[in-house]
Amino acid sequence: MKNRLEELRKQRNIKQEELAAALEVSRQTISALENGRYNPSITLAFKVARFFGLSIEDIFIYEE
Amino acid sequence: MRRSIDRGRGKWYLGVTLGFLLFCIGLFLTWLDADGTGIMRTLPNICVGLGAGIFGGSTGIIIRMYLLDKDPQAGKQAEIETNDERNMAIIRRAKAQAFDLMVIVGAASLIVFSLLQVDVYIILILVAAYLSRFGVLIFFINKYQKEM
Repeated sequence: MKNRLEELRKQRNIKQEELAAALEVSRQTISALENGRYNPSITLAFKVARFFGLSIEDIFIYEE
Repeated sequence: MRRSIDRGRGKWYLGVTLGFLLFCIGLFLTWLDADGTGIMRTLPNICVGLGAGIFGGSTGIIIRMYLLDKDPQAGKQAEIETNDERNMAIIRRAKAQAFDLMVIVGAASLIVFSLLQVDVYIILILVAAYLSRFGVLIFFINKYQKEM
């Protein structure tokens, strides 16, 4: 699944480590999410969306 | 709070003591009856093995707790790494792969033992162990189907 995580993080000048600490996940998880290697659970998707003040659909792009 | 942490630690200190005692008993029994027969042939070895395992495992956990106490930041990071959903997903997937592989390894070892013409009761124990994993698998599939 594609997402705008890297773009949004860079827009806000946040390091991967800082985002990871805020979401209570490892830095590797943030990296994997940004590269599209890992799809988050619905809980983590909500946490990410709340962190950026957006909806899940604004960040994660579902393509069939 | 401090008391409850110390109490949680108590079982590991008990493990260190019991493990060490068991290890010493094993060595003592070996020294007492080096050419033992019957149960005395294996009991000292079991005591030494179990004792060393319990002692080592408990000591490791106490050292880890001590190090995490000294550096709370590292403790928090270790907790994040443990609860990280991707890490947990990786571990679950690795375990599933290992299970699939062990099914093949188990079947191969059964064939090898049969070709080596070992006693039939050993083959039967191995077959029971081999089949028990499928019983456990079915049990957990049923359990999770009810829960999820």
